[in-house]
Amino acid sequence: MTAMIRSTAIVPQLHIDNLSCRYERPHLFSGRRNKTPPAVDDVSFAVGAGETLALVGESGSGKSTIARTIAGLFPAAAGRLRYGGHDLTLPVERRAAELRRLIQIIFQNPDASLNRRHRIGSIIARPLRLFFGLSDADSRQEVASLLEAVRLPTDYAERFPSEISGGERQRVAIARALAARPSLLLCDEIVSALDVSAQATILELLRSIQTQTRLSMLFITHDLAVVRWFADRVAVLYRGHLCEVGPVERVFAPPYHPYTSLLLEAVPVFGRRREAAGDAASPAVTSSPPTTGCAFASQCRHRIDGLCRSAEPPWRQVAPGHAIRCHLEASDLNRITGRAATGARLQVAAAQKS
Amino acid sequence: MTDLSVLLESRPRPAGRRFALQRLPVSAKVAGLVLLAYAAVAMLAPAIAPYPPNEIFVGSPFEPPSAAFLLGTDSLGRDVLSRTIYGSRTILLMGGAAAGLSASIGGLLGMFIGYRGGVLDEVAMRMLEIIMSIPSIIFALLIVGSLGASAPLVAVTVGLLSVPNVARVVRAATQSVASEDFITAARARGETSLSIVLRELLPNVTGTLIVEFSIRTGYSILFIGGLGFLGFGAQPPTADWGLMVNEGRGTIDASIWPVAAPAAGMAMLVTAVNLFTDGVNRLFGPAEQGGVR
Repeated sequence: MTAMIRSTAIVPQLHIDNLSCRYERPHLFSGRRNKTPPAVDDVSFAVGAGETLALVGESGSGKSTIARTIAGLFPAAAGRLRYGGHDLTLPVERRAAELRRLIQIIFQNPDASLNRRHRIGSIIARPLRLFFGLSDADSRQEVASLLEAVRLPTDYAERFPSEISGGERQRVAIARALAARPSLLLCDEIVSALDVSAQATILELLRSIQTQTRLSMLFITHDLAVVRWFADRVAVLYRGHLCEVGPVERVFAPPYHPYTSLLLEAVPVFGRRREAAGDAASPAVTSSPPTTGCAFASQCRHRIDGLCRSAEPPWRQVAPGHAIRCHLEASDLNRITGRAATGARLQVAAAQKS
Repeated sequence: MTDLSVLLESRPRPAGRRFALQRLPVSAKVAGLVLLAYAAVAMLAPAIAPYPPNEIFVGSPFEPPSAAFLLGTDSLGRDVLSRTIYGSRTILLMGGAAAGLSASIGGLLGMFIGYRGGVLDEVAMRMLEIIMSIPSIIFALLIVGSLGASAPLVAVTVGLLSVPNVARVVRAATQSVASEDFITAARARGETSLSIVLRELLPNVTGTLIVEFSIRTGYSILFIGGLGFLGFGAQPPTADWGLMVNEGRGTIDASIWPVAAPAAGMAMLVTAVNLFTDGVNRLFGPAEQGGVR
């Protein structure tokens, strides 16, 4: 199954095989675990060198949990995670320094991810000291060039995070990640907290850095316009389950997984009228997810009664490198969800223009 | 027509870098000056005290205040003013040492258990609560009574008895910081717990620590004075305020000064410390966390 999802053109560096994660803690005395539905359930994907994989899904779909698991900040309940020759199931405290250096994570909110009591220069210098043993004096030059790399004035090194704007702060967070000379960057909603112009600057910056360094990126977002513009491949996540994986241009064109189609319709497009109420099932999650069958079944407009709620949907390869996990045949999906293509095409066109 | 130029005027940004103490309320500034005066008196004691503090019969017993003995003399004819001046040394040194001990140990402990959480937090907190549930005066009398009274031991005992209180407050302050992403980022880099506590957490709880140090100073001074009065502090003939009050109380009908002078010194010192603490709390306290650099 994994082999199918994998892109053929690029040698994958990051392998996630059948990853499951649970938010639960054994009770202090009884040791009994309460059964909660997994936040991430049997997810597999791979990211190649120099590739950007976008992980999309609504909030609570497990996107950030996956990133945190890869970074070793959250334990995997099951699955195999590898990066190059390294085993990623180890918690970060037990990982080799080299592995910690190679994988860097950037968080959504730079106000929280930068220590407000430290000057920007010392924030960026910290990984230099930790991973390369540079003294404060030696790292000064390196900090200046990192600030230049993220297009910030070098005298910002003397400032505190509170003295610069939110977009600039996120660039400091990027500079800190780059200081470790990573080969995989985990970007957890890094532009969601920024205004649109700051978003564009950050994304262009990451793009140019990526072309220079062949950095791999796992780009977590809920913004489909950003995905369309920024990512090479997309993985669509619904409540911890992967629904669809493929190259951006294929995922954004029919056939769609019914959930992907719903996501694309949910993107507000200026000038497009809302569809009839009965047609647009709300993607909002109301009940706890089913334990059997397709996770999306209760929300799905094209549910096959008696099948979708009871049996796990199979992965179907609809094009090279493009797979959809659904009980419906590709041809059926094409026919049923193709209608959404109108809206999606509008959306994609809007994204390309901006 | 209204004058709109006021809207265009850019107001100078309040200088954030201004020395924090300048923003203290007036009461705290006055209290701060009083504390400085106490410190000066304590440091300059040999220069300003008119007589050696422990020398007996520099005058006759129970002399009333006069030009020669500004605060009179005690039952052994010792100069009350000189003894009171020297007594400030003992109390400031012991109070400061006790507060410093409780703030540093309690601060480190609070930061560690607040950061690590989990079972360590549960166990450590229950143990601290057990210590706090025992009245500290009984605890102190037990320790000092069995190990022998001496100034360093009293300071250490009083300091250690305050550790749980400091740890509890610092733990709470730490918990609110520990969940922030810069701590997660430090973990992801592979920083050790010690480095996270000292480098990432400590600068964010300094306000709380300063306030706790201040609170503990006032508390320790009173506590140490009380122990001295009970005879479990400095031993005679040391000029110790608590001890002086105890020694003078039997002959209070002969002269009130040997009791009044150290008692007034203690009262003013504790009041000043408390007023200063109050001001510091307004600057650095929980509500203002993050407001001061």
